[in-house]
Amino acid sequence: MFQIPTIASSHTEFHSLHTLGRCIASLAKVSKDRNTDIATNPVHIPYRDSKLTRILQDSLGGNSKTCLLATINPSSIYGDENISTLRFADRAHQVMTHAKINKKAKSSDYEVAMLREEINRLQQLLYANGILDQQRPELSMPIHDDTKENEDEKECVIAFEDEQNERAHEEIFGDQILVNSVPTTAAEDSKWIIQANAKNANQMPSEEMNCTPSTIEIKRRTMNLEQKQEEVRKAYQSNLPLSHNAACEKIVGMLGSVLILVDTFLTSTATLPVVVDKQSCSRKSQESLRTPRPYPDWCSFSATTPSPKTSQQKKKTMSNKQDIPNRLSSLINQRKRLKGENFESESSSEEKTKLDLMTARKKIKKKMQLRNWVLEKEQRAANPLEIMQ
Amino acid sequence: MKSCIESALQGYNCTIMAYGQTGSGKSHSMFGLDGDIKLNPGIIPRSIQDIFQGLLKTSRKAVVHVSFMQVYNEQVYDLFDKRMLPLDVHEMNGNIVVKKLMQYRVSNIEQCLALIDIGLKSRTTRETTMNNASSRSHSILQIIIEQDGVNQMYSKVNLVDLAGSERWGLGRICNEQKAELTNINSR
Repeated sequence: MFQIPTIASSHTEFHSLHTLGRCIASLAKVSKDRNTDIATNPVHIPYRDSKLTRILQDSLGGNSKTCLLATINPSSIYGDENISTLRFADRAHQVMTHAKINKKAKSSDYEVAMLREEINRLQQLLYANGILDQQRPELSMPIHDDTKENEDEKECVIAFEDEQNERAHEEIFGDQILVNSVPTTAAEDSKWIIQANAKNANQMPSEEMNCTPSTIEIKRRTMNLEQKQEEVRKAYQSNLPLSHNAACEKIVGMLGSVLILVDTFLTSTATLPVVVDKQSCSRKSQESLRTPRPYPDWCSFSATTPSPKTSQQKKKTMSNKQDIPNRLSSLINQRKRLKGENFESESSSEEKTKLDLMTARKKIKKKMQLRNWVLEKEQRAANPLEIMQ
Repeated sequence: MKSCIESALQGYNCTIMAYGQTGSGKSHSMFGLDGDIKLNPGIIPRSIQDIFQGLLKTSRKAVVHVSFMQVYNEQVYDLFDKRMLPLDVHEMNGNIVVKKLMQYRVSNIEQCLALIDIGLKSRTTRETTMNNASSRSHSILQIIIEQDGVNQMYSKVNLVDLAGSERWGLGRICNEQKAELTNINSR
């Protein structure tokens, strides 16, 4: 039943308790002269010497609230043991632990919350500078609203016989808005960019008329989002070290450069005898801004990206450079018919202006891509699940 | 000690250790009279009761895991595992982890107490096979509480019954006393 333990075996058996005692002693010492510089002279606490102290490492001197229950035997023959027990208890009493609540933040949700906060801050800065519209709806948008817009666009498209014609018209028309209107403020400038891009976006479904618009929309969006995800992540990572103000300044600087570009463009085209009804153009644009659409242009814009289609269009239009003057006149006529307005057409626009248009459009597209990722970032934070899927 | 358990419900780690010489009543106060945790509950059954009652009061979802181990002769054993294999202790991300240690998910007090009963029984069988090892082994009951909510909270409750603190090998106590001590415990 009972064996007298040899000294050797007792050494191993009580090693852990011995180590516990040493740990408590050194921890008590550390806690006692806490005010002296521990950081410079860190005290070694022999947690690793035994399994018990390793398991209880946190409980002893780390992140834990610890109770020690010391039991003693009332019999007089255990006096020595009782004293040593009480000494141990006294030492343990001096140990300071640093307990804290173990909050495990939900990693992805936490990140999203942080990003949302950042976006709100940036948006407020943009509002304060008057760069963005005050009435901005929610970033998350249902798909069907976009498709409705596309259906409207389809009706317009039916009027055009040739698909290519329509595209060329759209592109040229989009640029004409840029040409004929003089953006005065940065805010207006951003609107123009958004509008122009929205037009590009609306061109897309015309090609895929056979499919239902909703499926097209979904496909397109998923494709774009997949493409964008990586890009945005990289861009965002590179942008992370920037402070909010710096990011804002960057955006403002971007818009400013676009403004300068448009200005130079205007000066170059001002001398040319392009006579287009400025009022009708500007009126149309103003209408598009004022009319209560289900969602403004930038909404559809945010869902779109510079896809390979646009570059294809560009190539096609480049190849048809020769008969652009004729096409332009025909398109302007068609537009006139659609709008039911008097529209003075002029077909004598020169080759040089076309080239200028092309180069300027390219540059603008680059700028828009830059703007794209800003909005994409916002969208990602607003509805991350959509991107993830 | 009640406040200690309450703070465990708030997300703190907490530990209750019993230290003393053999026969002074460590196991008695930790587990209850003669290891009977139902009739005469000690600190461990009471604190488990407190934990579950506290969790019922809160509206948060909570998951409770229980593991029971024994440190004997510098080896860690799982008291829920009948094979009694020594386990390894590792450090992972700053946390000490005992490898292959069984963690049982418990949903109410009865389950938890039944598990502890099983652990105690295996400890008593070890006692006989390993020559009254319980007085020289430390048993650690870990209760891990994970609470869901706005912030996930994770708290670990260590309920430790340490080995007898008397110095056997150092010749402080004569053989008679030893016999006495072991008799107290084995009665």
